Amino acid sequence: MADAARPGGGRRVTPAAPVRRLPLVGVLVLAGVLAAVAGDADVAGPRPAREADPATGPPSGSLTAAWYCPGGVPGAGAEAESLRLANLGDADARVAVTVHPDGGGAPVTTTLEVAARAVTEAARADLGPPGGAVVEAFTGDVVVESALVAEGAVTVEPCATAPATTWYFAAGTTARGVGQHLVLYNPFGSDAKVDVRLYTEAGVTEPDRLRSIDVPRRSRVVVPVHEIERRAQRTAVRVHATLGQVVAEQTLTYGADTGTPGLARSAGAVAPAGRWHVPHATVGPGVTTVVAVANPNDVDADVDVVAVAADPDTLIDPLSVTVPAGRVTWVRIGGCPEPPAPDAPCVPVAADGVVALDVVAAAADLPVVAEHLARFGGGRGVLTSRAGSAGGREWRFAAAAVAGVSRGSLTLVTTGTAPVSADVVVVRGGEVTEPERLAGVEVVPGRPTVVPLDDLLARGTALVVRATGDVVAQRTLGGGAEVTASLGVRGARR
Amino acid sequence: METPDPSTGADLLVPEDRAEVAAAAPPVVAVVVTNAPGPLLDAALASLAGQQYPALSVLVVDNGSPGDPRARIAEVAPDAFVRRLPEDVGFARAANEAIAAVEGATFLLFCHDDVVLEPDAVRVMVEEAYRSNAAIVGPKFVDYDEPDVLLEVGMAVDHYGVPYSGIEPGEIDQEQHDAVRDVFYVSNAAMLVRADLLAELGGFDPKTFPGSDDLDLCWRARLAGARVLVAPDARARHRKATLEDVRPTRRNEVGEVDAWTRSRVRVLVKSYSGPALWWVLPTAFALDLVEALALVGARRPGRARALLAGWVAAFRDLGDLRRARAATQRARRVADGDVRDLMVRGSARVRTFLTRRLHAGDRLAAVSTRTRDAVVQVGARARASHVVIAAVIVALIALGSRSIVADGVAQVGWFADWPGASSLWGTFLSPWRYALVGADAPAPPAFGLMALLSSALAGDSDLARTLVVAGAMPLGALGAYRLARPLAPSPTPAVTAALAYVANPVVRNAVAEGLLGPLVLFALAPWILATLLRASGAAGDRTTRLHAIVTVALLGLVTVAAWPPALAFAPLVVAAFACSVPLVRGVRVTARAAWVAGGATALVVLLCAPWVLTLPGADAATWGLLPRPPLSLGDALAFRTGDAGAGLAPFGILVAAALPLAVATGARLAWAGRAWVLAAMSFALAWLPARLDAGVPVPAPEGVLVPAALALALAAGLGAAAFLEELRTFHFGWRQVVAVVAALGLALPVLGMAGDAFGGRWRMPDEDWATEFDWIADETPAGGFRVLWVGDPTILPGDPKVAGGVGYVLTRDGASDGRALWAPAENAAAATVGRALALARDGETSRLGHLLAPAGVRYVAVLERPAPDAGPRRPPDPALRDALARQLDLGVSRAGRGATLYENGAYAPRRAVAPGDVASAGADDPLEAAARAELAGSEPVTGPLDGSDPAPPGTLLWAEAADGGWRAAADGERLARDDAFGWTNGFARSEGGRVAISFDGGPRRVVAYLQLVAWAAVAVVWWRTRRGRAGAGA
Repeated sequence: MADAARPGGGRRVTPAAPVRRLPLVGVLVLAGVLAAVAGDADVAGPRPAREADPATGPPSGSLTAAWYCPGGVPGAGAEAESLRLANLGDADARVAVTVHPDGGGAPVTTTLEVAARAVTEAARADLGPPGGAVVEAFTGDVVVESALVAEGAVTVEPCATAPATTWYFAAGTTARGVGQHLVLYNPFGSDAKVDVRLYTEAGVTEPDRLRSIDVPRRSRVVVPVHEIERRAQRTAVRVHATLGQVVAEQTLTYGADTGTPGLARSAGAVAPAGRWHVPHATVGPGVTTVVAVANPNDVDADVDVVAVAADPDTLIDPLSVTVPAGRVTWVRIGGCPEPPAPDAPCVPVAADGVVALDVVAAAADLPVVAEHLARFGGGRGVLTSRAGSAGGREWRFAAAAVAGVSRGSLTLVTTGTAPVSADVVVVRGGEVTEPERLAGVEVVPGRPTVVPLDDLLARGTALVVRATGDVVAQRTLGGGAEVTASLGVRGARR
Repeated sequence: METPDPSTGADLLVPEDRAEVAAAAPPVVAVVVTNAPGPLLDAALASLAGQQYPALSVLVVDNGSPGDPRARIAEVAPDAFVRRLPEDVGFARAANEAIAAVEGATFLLFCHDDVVLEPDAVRVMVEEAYRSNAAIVGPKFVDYDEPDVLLEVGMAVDHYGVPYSGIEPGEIDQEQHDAVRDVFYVSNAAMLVRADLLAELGGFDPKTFPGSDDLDLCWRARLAGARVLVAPDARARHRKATLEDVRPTRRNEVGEVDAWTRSRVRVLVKSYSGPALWWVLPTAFALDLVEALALVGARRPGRARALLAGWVAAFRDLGDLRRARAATQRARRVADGDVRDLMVRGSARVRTFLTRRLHAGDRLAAVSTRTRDAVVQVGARARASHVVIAAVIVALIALGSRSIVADGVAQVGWFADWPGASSLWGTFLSPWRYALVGADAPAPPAFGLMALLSSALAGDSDLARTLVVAGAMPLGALGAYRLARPLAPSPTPAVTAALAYVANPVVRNAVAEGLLGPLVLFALAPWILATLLRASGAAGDRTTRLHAIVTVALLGLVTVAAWPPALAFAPLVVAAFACSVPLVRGVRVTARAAWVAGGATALVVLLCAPWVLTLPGADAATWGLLPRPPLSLGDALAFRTGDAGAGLAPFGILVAAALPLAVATGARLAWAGRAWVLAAMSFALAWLPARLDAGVPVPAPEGVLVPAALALALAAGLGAAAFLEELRTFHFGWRQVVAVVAALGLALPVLGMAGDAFGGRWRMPDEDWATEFDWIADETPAGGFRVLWVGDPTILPGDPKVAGGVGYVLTRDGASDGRALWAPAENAAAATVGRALALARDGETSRLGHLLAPAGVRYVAVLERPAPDAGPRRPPDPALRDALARQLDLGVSRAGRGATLYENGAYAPRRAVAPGDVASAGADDPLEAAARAELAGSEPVTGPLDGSDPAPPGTLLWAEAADGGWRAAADGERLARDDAFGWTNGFARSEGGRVAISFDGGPRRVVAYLQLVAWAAVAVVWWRTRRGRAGAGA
């Protein structure tokens, strides 16, 4: 066996004993086999982006929390808007309100101090000219709601906690005498561009005037839908930002010639869902309650509308409805005409009172959008209320009441199958109290639990609902000619 | 002496009447086994009776013949003893009767009943047995009717027990096979066996009859250390060749095929060692299966079935087989390798077919000789082919690097622009590290080395940078050449190693991704390894060792300065040597290498101090460890760390490197083993950490795989050396085929390299973000600013830090330059930036711009690709990307081509006078204070740092990490410093005027000078020991 020179140079070395090939090759092959058998690492996919939910409050420990209040429609009660800032924490909170005026102009920032466990009310007009407003709190314990109290109109709606690329509004109409406005607010430093699509009884329409709407940075755009799509008895809206993100609100203004004047404002849903909850719908004489179901899919969607009365003795049969693709269907609750009208589905409810509504899509891959709309005869107004698609264990309301409201209630429904116990905590004047009658409220599955707020209808009062399971909480205020309903702000999941 | 009755077959003793003669010659008993004897029995017995050998007795074992042959036997051989068996028990069992029946015999001569021995045959065989100390001897068999025709002169087998005689049909005996020689076995048609050995072995194994009983006996004899010879001077005439007679042919019954296969398999199982059985049995079965299929194709399914049935039958009685094997292995004295020397290579079936059917024996030999000559010629040409290979290397490197040299190096990854030599010197000597948000930390030695190189090139730092990037491949190739040069007199193995090294895709990926550290390691690793190996030689005086230590240290200084994980290279080599000791020995080699590596590593630490002393305890990113996509085993083995190395071509390097494992011997095989162990460890380091924990930060695989690339290149060179120096002594066989495959394997990655060379930049992008955003620097506002680069840390320009899986880099006044590289360990100030990003990502702030304002961040660049419209797409954390879009104080300035640039509406210059009292803001929580503060109205402070333009009164903010070493003076009067926002510097000023800011770094500058002195001293030692080494003739 010839000597071999060593690599790198140096003296030639003859090994003392011959190198055995087989063990060397065997060890190397064995190492390779073991590695091959061990396999490669399982690679987890990229962490999905946290879906920002405009209806969910910021994390409690947030350094700053922003609330986006698009503001009312000029000439439709915006002048009477006010902001309710409820500080649910134990320390005073500093809040910066920045108004982005309509028509351009430098932003106007006002700094407010909100005492601990108290509610501060600020008139919108005192904060700056008309326009969208961003309320930045240097804590996650502040809840912001926008209230609009005017002659013949009252709405109280939480401001959004996040923008979104897409917004849906199911309950709209451009019937004679009704003004349907979309307020598109871009509070960020980059321009946005938005397409608006309408789902009507006739199908999907995308008018040119509703395409590529520019929403410049730090500004808002008010879109008069009723001037573009006229005389559509039922319209549902999809707002989609092709560039940037926006915060959207819809306002319905019913004029006197509609018979039930009033103003309804609602925040939109950011995505269709397979199930929607409306905790509180009123059935009775002089009340027209509907749940609007919009189907944004390309195929027809079957949905079940289930109404459950607060009175356990009242039984209501569910109704199955087919919502055509790209259209919206209004399902009336109670007050069904005799004989039943074709193409006018109605859930017959024998007794008057409060019912909870569930809208359930039959197919999981065909989600829909649902929204509650009610018109109260006798000039008592109109309300729209976004339905809830997900429950939570905590719900916050910055305003238990507003001026002119004499009646109010909190209505809770569970989203699970087990009973839930809920406590309603009152925050007012630096104190947090838990009234005995509001403690341990039992919420039975499938049935609305109505908690009257009559003794809590004082201004400067915030409410927090804490439950042992997931619930959906709705506040309904009324009195006189004004009614309003809205879901609260869901507490952030820990 | 008792004379037994021959008719009874009682114990046979040496007959009295021959006692005198027998006393002079060892007694031999001829055992003739007969069954229904034919006409040749008389002649056979007569030949035994007529033997010249004096001490020969004859025992005829009648194996159940129908008639009594005693009378016939007595007629021809009246002195013969007869032992009758009641039935036919087969030759082996019958022959074994002799063991019990015979006493006192030295040899037993087994004969068939149709073999006629020449009168001197027994004498010749006995004499040869003594002369050669053989235990078994066989004669030359010739045809009974044509004694000139050879039948058999000893037998061989292939590895699978198939016999092979090597005699062509009708071959004339011209004494061409008349040399006494060792053979694998001899036929028991006439077999002289030492009686004691036969008794020790237990005689023939009856279960190997028919077909392999003689083979089995001889194999067992060999394993016991005995010799088996053929003595051609002893002639025996036989009616038929044993090959045809006993071994089944076409004319034999199918049942004999079954029995013969069973016997052969039994012999294999008994005789081979355990490890060998793992490959012999499956291969033998596979060959039989192929033959069975061929028989089916030839419409002989019966024989095919019998062939396979024989396998089944062989394993029917596992207990007996196990016992028989145990007995054989107990008697083993020699290894299989010693026995295999007499086996024929390849398939005896094929050889027999060729020699017997095509009479191609001579032609086979001619082909083998011609092929060997051709291999020799190829080898001769190969020795001269190094010029061609070297030209290929040079051409490919030149072609692939032309655009880099002509158009410059793009600023991707770590290939940031180098500032001028004076700036580099300033950075090296500065007591403050201007990277991230600044740190009181020593400058990395890399800046000193960059400054030295730039100064040596007359201050042309651009040229220096281009030289480093474009020169890494040729320098690495040259190093691999020098490493492998001593392998053989011809340079061909060395250029082969160089080619294998430079064709490895790992270096092209390092260039494409801007990985400066791994690239430097690629260039210098061969030189380090060569020095280590040279120093591990048998003789080496103190000067040589010192020179080696200093050489490795100086090379290590450069590699570690560029890439801290390179500190593990020399220890890894030593560890590989140590792990290979059980396989290839070489304890002294390992010990010497360890001595040199240890000394060199310690010296590297000293030379890199004090910077290297800040690494322990630093965050993983400071070491170059980042969260990366896990590398699969296949990708690691193919060096597929990026776009280069796609497909199967890179596996060709493994194929080429496997050649020495197959064909090398001696020291070459040992070094190939060490190289492969080093490669295996390198592969493991690249693959295993992520396999155990997919999220663990790991170093760049391009650097981790450099040892593997180098080791395999060395192995390829060893293979080439073995091909040139050793393979020519072998006849044509599988080794030559393997060599051809290895050569083809090496060609594949070269083709891949050629493909990547066409672009002229080794896939390095020709644009970069620094150029894309150079308008930022043009719009530099007064007071200075920073850019925060955010995204996947593996695609960010510069030296990223990682916070919650998000990579970030901070640069000054634009994309910055090389001074932002080798960022210091993350301090509290830098961690604040990471926290701010995490808060934004988790939705806990919408004022990220405010949080970043105290750091002077004016732009936030979110990258998805390493270069504009180029490189892999690696989107950032979706949650962070969405969160950035929702920040109220960030607005999109540019978007597209793989990046989104946000402008910070809350920005404040790096040096500015802030409104209000912010000096003490944020003492508890810097981020909370920053969120509340409105710094957008800050007044920038312009002018030199050591004497600004007049600035208004107020708190002077200096956006470097808070440190008591920062001093500010206005009109000579020192200003009080405070930690503004908890992590930056604020100086309270009640009056306006010029301000001078400086940093008191203590003796750090002196330490930097001392570091230079240390380098120079070591360089002098290197030079002087080099001359001393040359003078010693080492």
